Amino acid sequence: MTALTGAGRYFDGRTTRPVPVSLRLEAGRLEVSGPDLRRDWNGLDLRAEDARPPLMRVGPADTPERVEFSDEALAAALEALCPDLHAGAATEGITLKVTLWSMAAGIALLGLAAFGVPVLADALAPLVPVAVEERIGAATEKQIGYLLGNPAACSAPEGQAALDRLVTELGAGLPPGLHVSVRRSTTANALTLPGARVIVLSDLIAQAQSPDEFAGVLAHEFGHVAARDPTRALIRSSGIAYLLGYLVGDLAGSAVIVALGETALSAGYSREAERAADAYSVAAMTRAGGDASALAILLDRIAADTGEDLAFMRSHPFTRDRAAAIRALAAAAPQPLEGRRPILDAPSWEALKAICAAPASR
Amino acid sequence: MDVRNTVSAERPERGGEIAFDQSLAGLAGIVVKGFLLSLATSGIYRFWYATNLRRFFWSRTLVDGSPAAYTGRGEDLFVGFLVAIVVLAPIFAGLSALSLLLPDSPVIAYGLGFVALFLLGQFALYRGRRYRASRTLWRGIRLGQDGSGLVYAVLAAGWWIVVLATFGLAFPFMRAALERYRIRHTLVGTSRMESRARGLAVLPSWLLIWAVVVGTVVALTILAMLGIHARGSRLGEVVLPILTILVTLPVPALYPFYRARETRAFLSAIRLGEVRLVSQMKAWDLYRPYLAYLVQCLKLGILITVAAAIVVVIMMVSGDAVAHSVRFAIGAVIVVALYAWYLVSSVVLYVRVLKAGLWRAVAETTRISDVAALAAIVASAGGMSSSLGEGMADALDVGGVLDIGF
Repeated sequence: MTALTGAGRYFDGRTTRPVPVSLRLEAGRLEVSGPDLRRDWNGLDLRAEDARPPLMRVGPADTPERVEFSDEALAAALEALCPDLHAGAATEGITLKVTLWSMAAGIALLGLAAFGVPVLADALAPLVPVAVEERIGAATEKQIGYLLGNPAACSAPEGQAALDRLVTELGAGLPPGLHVSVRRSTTANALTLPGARVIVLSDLIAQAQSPDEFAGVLAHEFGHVAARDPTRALIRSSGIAYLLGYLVGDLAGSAVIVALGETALSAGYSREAERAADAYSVAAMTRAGGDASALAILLDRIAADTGEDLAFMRSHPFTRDRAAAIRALAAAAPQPLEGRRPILDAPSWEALKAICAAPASR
Repeated sequence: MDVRNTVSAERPERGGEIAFDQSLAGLAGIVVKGFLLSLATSGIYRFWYATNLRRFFWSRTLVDGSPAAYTGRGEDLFVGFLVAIVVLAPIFAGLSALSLLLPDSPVIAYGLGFVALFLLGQFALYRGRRYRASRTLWRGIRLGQDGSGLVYAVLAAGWWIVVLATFGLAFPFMRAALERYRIRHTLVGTSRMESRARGLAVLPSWLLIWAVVVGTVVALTILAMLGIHARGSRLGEVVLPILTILVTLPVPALYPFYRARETRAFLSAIRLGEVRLVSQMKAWDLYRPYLAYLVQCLKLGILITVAAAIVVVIMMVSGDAVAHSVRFAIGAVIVVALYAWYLVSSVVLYVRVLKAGLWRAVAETTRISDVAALAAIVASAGGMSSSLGEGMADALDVGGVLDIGF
């Protein structure tokens, strides 16, 4: 094997002074010679640092001494000669380990978000002091009002009296702070906020064809109040978003991923909460002597499934499943002996329907 | 071969060039691998991805012919991130508890949260820089950083208050003060760096931007007032919105101009013993990468649009030759493939064209005044510092993988 020679610069690793040297590669050894300098390195000990070929920066693994040269032939010969030239430097081999471990860790974190956080939320929700819940509820109500365009509150006296009677009848056993308000809106819906606050959007009353239909929805919301679902949902979704946010980090579109993941993970629990609230509604309506299956009639009419959207993303179960479950529960519930009468008498129901009419116009 | 990438052993006493790899061979591979693995590992691979990127950029930067070396490891960053989560969790929990307890005075909760996160962010930036410095070697000499992250955070907060109080006029003075703190606490081996950065030197460039911003605000106010009166007319519907856009455009377009002036002034103010840095950066050097990136993104967009159009035409021409469901499946696969192509290409463009372009602009406009005097730099016995700052910066979303400059 013939010797390869070239020119380079030597650095002692303790100062930045370059020393011009000549290099000679022969019989597996790299000779470095310059003024007052002579090194003879075994090729097996040599390590190269990152550099763009043909520049090479190389030296023994156990000293900081290095030589730099730009010589393709010499670089190629060293590559061929030294098996460990790039050992220990690159992250090769570790990539697979990192990938597998971090996938495992990711699954573990996802699992924590999916199963651990809801359990934690269930445990923490009852510990939240009533005063704090009340404050959060007030702040949320303000926020919701803003989102809905600050709709006027409806409180025509006769309507309010009828509503209060319904609330007293259905809300037996609920915390004393229960607060039901009606807001003028063209959306048929009702919401429960933390701190036992229920907001009824007026179109729901308009669309209800009997007092029992409306009372069924109200009792459903009371089910959420009884289970403190809003507080639980608040803790749960902040916890999940927190975990997913850390997990996803600084990747393109991470906010979307977090939001989607949070929705998907929360949806399962809120579907469960909806079923529980439906069951509560049936029980409360039965106790109050109303028609528990009226809720199913209302749901079928105004919340018919509009298509096969992604089932796992839905916060509410499919309406047909809900309605069927409500009817089954209502059928199994004890029936009143003296036959059924509406939960509100006709004049009260008329007054409730007019709760949004401005007092001045009447 | 690019002459600046060769070793200049025969003329060591000349002024030293700082050069950056022209070909960037291998960078696209690192980016694609890093991006895809980060996706597959729900982001955890990003620490190793960042490490690979830094190794590439450091080793392709030649200072007087010798490459820099980055010796950080992905494991360090990952551990730093885990520690940062544990440190930050009670702070975040406290902040959210505060906002729950004071729902009626959100300003206090938000304000406190903002101040806390700002201080933490500045602390993290400073400590992250310390990690990178202590993992940077050149000719076997390790860089280092002392000073206190806490002092830096307080300094930054104080200066921001001054900047806000002076309606932004103090901005260049803040930049100079923070730059001086950073540079004066930076060590190369046993030699301490010195900075003579002065805000006054870049004040004229800043005043130009400042005047444009103030002018824009005034112009927008006038336009808004005109718009209220001209509602429903052609003036209000067409002319004013276009004018608004035209008036707003110069603001972001001028910032690179200021950054170029600042980089030139601040880099040239750096001393290391007898050695000086000399920056020749012109505004165009910073505009070029941005323009190149814009052009490349447009080209990618056009390419993908054309590809999608061809696919649609083929699907329409093929008609009922294949079943509906098969066509739907093929279409879905093609859409996903096109989207993946777009995502990967745009990430590659971002790093290869924009990041590398900015890095090169800074490196290649900078020279070392007196290379012979560099020989006085001696290695220090100082060790490496922890990665907590980097982890915190990652957890707080401040700072980038590649901070340009010192």
